Amino acid sequence: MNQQRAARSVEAVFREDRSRLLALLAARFADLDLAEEVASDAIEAALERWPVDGVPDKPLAWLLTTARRKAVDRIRRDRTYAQRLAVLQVESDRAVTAVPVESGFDDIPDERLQLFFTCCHPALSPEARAALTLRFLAGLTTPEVARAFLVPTATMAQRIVRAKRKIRSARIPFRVPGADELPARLPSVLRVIYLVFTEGYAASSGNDLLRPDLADEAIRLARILHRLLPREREVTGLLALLLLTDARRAARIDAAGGQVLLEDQDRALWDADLIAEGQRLVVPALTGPGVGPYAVQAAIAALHDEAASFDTTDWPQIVALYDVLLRIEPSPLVALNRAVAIAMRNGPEAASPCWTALPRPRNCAATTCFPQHGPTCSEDWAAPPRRPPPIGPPSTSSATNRSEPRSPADSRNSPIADRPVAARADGNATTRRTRTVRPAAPRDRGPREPDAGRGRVPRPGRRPRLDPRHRRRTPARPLARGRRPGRRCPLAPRRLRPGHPPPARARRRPGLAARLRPSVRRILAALEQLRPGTVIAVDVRVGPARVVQPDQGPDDRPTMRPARPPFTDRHTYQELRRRTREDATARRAALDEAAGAREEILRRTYNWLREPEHAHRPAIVDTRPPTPTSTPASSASATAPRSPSPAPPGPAPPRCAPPIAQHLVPARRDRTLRPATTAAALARRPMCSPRSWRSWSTCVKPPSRT
Amino acid sequence: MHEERTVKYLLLINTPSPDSTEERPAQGPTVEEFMAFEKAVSDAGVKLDGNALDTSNATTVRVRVNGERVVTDGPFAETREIVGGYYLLDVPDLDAALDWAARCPGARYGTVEVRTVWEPDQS
Repeated sequence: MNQQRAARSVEAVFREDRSRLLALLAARFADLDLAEEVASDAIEAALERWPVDGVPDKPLAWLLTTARRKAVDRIRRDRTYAQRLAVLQVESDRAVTAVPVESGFDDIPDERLQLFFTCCHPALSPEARAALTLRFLAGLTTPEVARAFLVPTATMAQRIVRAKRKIRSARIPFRVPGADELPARLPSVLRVIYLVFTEGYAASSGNDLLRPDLADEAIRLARILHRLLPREREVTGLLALLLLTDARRAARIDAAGGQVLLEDQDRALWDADLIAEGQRLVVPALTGPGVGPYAVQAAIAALHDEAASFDTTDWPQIVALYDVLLRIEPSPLVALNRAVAIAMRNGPEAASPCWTALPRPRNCAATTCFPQHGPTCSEDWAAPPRRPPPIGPPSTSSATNRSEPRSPADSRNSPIADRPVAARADGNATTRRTRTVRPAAPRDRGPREPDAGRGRVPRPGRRPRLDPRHRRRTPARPLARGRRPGRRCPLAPRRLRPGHPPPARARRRPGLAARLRPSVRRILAALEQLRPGTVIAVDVRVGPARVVQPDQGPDDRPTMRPARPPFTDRHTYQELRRRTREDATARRAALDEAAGAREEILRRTYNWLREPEHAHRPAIVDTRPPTPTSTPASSASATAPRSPSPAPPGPAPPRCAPPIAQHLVPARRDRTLRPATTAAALARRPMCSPRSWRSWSTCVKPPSRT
Repeated sequence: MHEERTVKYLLLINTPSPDSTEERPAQGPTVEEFMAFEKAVSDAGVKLDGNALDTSNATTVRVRVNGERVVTDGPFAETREIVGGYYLLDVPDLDAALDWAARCPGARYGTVEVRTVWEPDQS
């Protein structure tokens, strides 16, 4: 037991560190793949070294330095990225002075906010957003994320790879949106956290009703986000909502794993600490003009949590809050919940006008956040569990005989009585719970639970309008904001299929020169003049380095200081190490195919470029002795290649010089001659249709005159 | 590699699909709106190219495996969503491209698809 707890705490610390590490590396290299690999390497190194040498004073700084060195090594090893290395090296040198190993934890900026916004970018599909967030910010391994969404590991790995590829190729920026964009972008982030929690609170698939691990992850993410954006009231509201809802977790399940209605729950089991924390957060979230939906929902949850018993629940206030919520987001589910609250306040008859006022189905077009094959976070909000009120005699005939529409409450195969009659947290129309029949999900075809009608919301006399058939015919329409859900994002890269080489890890970041130090800027200005027809000018500027402003100091965002990982426990240590390795293995395996193909392309391109007639690019001469932080390319090639299909030993790559500056010499080329030469070279250089990577790769094959 | 490498974004302005049930303005975007957008894009210096396409005279060509050339009339905006125009922009990242796409008058009426121009030397 103790051991398990130790394992959990070590893991938590590492995951916390890992996400910060990833954020820093991703911000610097603008490359999630690279960041991930070197972060894993650094953690692995830490697991090897720390038990022997002791845990360093500044664990994150140690990890960061190690990871950065490994990144530089890795890029150096990649021969075709030689020129890019120059910029990286400059940047890395500067970074070393900016963030010395001695710097404390608080001195290192917490870049995770950028990562949050990148991972939750609306241009990514919702399932990819959740997966990336769990992967990179919650620090789950790919198999764990796959388990969370109940899909095979390979599927999840592929999904993550695809999302990362899109981030790279469509150039989704790593940045925190400005204050003017924040209102538009923040909901996407909040929603991801919310969805993860909802799936943990009321799992839409699998055998268990609760997935405590997911709920915990969501709360952890919400806490991180709250630390990063303490003044954003919706973030506060979301955290409060999650805490107040999660506080009831222990009471929601009986010994047999069945659900317990709110009315029947043993309120002594509710977590008083979480409730108190949530209530503290609700106040600032609600205070001030322009209250957001999460804050209102948190307030409703707080009212339920405050009630000493079900009967003493403050229904009038809840109704009032639902009124507010309905104005913020007029969704049929909110209206439904409001009607329920009115019924609880004034009796069933009082609520019947509300039923008839429910919007027409066309306007509550179902949106499903996650398509059927995808993760199954439910969209509806994990409202305070409430038993639907006895509004009228349950019309059992219509409820049980008709296969659809089923009421929101019985859309799942588990006992559903406690299912929240949901309100919605997002502007995306209504919930999936209203879209009760999902044909591709086998569990929906299963026999109904015998008591499934128990928690059903009794219907008014007429046929309810939440008709899934109708809704599926009618494409979902984003009501307030956001893209059309449930549809493949038109931006999703289809062209690069598995097995095709992924695009470059990094490419030119525009405005790079402007952000460089003056000395480097001079060099780049010189390059700028050489640019037409030169390879180097392009490639240098292609560098993935995201140059940090020299004067960038520790920012004022709050940082956290995790506990020192207790490495006293050998078992824990071994387990962690094993998991780190397993994770790395799985990831590499998933990338193997693509990596192999890419290496081949790179090798051919490289060889082609080395043909004498193509050597019209300026050479970079390395005159610097190798530094400890950066092993020369020759020795790096001796280290074990990670790819299963390493490039065959070719001619030694040109030694590339980190300080690109003064050593940059145009190779045997008079600038006046260049246009003609370039044209000739280009004529020989096979360019082909962008559609066909394969044909391109074959024509890059070194000419056979060898 | 022979020229400065930039990632260019292509905004494909699609006409609304006739079966779309989405609410949209009754009238299509006006010429003035497009002129204003055109001016904004040009003034910002991000426009590389951009044109409206005639949606009434599309012809589709396909060559079969046996070399036979198949020419068909269409597609037509009356029957499906088709590209009504495009802009080629040079902007730093996807966010900027999406901002421009959102400002495009076509986005309010139909859809605007944002794509990057594939480049062979991406790796």
